[in-house]
Amino acid sequence: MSEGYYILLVKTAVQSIFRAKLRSFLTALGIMIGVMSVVLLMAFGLGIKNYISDQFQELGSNILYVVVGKIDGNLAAGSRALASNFRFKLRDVASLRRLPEAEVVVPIYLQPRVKIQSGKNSFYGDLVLSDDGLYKAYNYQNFVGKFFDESDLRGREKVAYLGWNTAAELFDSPAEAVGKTVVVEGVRLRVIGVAKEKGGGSASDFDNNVVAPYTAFPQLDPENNFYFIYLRAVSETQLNSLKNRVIAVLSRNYDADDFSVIEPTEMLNAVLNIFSFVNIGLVGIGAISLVVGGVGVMNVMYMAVTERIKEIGIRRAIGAKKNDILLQFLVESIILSLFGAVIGLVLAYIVVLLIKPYFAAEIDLTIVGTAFGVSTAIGIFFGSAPARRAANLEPVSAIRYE
Amino acid sequence: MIKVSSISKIYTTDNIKFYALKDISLTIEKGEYVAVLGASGSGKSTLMHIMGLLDKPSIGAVYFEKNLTTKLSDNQLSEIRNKKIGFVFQQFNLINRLTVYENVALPYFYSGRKDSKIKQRILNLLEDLQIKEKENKYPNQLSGGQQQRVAIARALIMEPDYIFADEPTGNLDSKTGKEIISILESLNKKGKTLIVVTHDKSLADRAKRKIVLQDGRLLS
Ligand SMILES: Nc1ncnc2c1ncn2[C@@H]1O[C@H](COP(=O)(O)OP(=O)(O)O)[C@@H](O)[C@H]1O
Ligand SMILES: [Mg+2]
Repeated sequence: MSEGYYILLVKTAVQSIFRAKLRSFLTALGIMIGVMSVVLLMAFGLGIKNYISDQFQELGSNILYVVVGKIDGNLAAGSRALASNFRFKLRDVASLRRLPEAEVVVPIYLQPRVKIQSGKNSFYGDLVLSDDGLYKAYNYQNFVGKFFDESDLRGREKVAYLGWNTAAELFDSPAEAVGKTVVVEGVRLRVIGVAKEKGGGSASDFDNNVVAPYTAFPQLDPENNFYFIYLRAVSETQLNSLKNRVIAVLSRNYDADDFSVIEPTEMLNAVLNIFSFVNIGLVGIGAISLVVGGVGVMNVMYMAVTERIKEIGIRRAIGAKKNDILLQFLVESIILSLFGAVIGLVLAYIVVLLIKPYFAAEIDLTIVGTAFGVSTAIGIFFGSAPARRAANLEPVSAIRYE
Repeated sequence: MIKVSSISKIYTTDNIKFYALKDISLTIEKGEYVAVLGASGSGKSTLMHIMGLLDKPSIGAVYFEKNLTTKLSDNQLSEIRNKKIGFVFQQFNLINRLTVYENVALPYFYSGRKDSKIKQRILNLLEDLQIKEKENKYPNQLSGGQQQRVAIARALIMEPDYIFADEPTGNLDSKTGKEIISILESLNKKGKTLIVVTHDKSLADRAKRKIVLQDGRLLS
């Protein structure tokens, strides 16, 4: 076929759609609503998925968490873990450090909601006691000053590194905090640094912390009371064997119920699985509106065929084959359906732009492709019965039709 | 050569058989100029449609250049209509939402052929028929005579051997009708087989051969 054939095919289809503007618009409405809801749901799905993976990406993929209590993939068990009385000892940390697969091992002591005082100002935040490795483990970034180093730890220096909110609440401006003194649990600490604002909805409230070397608080006995150990494997491939070795080392002294070893990426997958399950249901609802839209397309195409019986007869008389007629009406129903898809996509995109500041949502090429693919399929599926009716008209009865 | 052999066309309504054509046999040779005459309802259009491979007889055989048409597929019949036959109708039967140019190009598009000179051929044809300046107009912007000229151009674009004209002057005033007839006759002089349906006796007298139908039967 010459290219003129295809140009005329599309031109004729677009013309027919625009000649019956209101009817075409009402038909496209069904597809539009369907495409819009499917695209929005996919956009939310993608947004949430990207948000979660960003959160975990920040932590890294060769990371293990060792926590107190038993966590067995059930997310609600997290609260039970905090209630556990079991705590890790410094010698556990020392034995984990001897594992060749472990590059970094950071123990963490946590005292939630302690009073942090500076002069007349006070603020309730979390006291985190750890070693110098925490800086990298938590991906801290300095706003001013610096984090404490190994010599501060060994020297039992009474120094503090403040989360953004903590510094902002206690001082006129976080920039002034360095060099000032804060009092926590009766210990006077010299502020040596303030972290940049972390923001977001991270599980632990980094911004409300005060971080100090665990050697600065002997009266709290952190060396026998770590509730969390952060481990980084030498490489991603070593992660699994590190996990097994950690379990083996800790099991020598403790019950299996006392502690859990968690891969953050496993948690990510668990969250994503739950989400994709919900998402399938929601996409199903969108699919129903697409089917309703498709039935509308079919009705309109049947009307279009009836209106153009004479034209079909003329085309057959001058040599159009059945397939030419079939193609003509299929192209028209596809374009009609794509027309709805384009409006639906534009509306969905506007909604995403409006909602983005408050809720994770993103439209990518896969979603756009899916919208076009699905609406093309609907055009073909629901247009094929009317198109076949047109193609199978007897040429002579069509040309005699008045 | 188009040959029909003992064909009948039967329509059955409410169990009553109606013979639109009854036992007709005739042969049209290449290059002939044939007039088909008869009262309204006598079966002229039905015969034209069958000989033009748009319709099939209920009984009997139709040969198109030695091919028994019942042996041909729907695609093959379409192809013959496209390349070997040109139709001209009383109601012009142009497609109103296509331009003059597009209407004339349509058979070419359906031919599956690629002709780099198609544009020039269409314009030459429109020129010959004195409607070149109407190239980008739509059919409803033209007079009846101009529309029939477009229909003739469309019938000619694939350079067919046979032209079927079913009352081509029926919707035209007598002066315009004569112009159209003289265009068709000039095509016959250039070698095209011309079959014209008419109930205008004076027009029919110009044809070299007359076929007269009455109630579906062949009179002469
Ligand atoms: N589809 C049909 N069903 C029933 N009768 C038909 C049909 N098509 C044509 N006829 C009848 O066949 C007869 C011949 O029609 P036609 O060939 O159009 O006549 P003409 O062209 O000579 O006026 C007419 O009586 C017409 O009513
Ligand atoms: Mg007739």
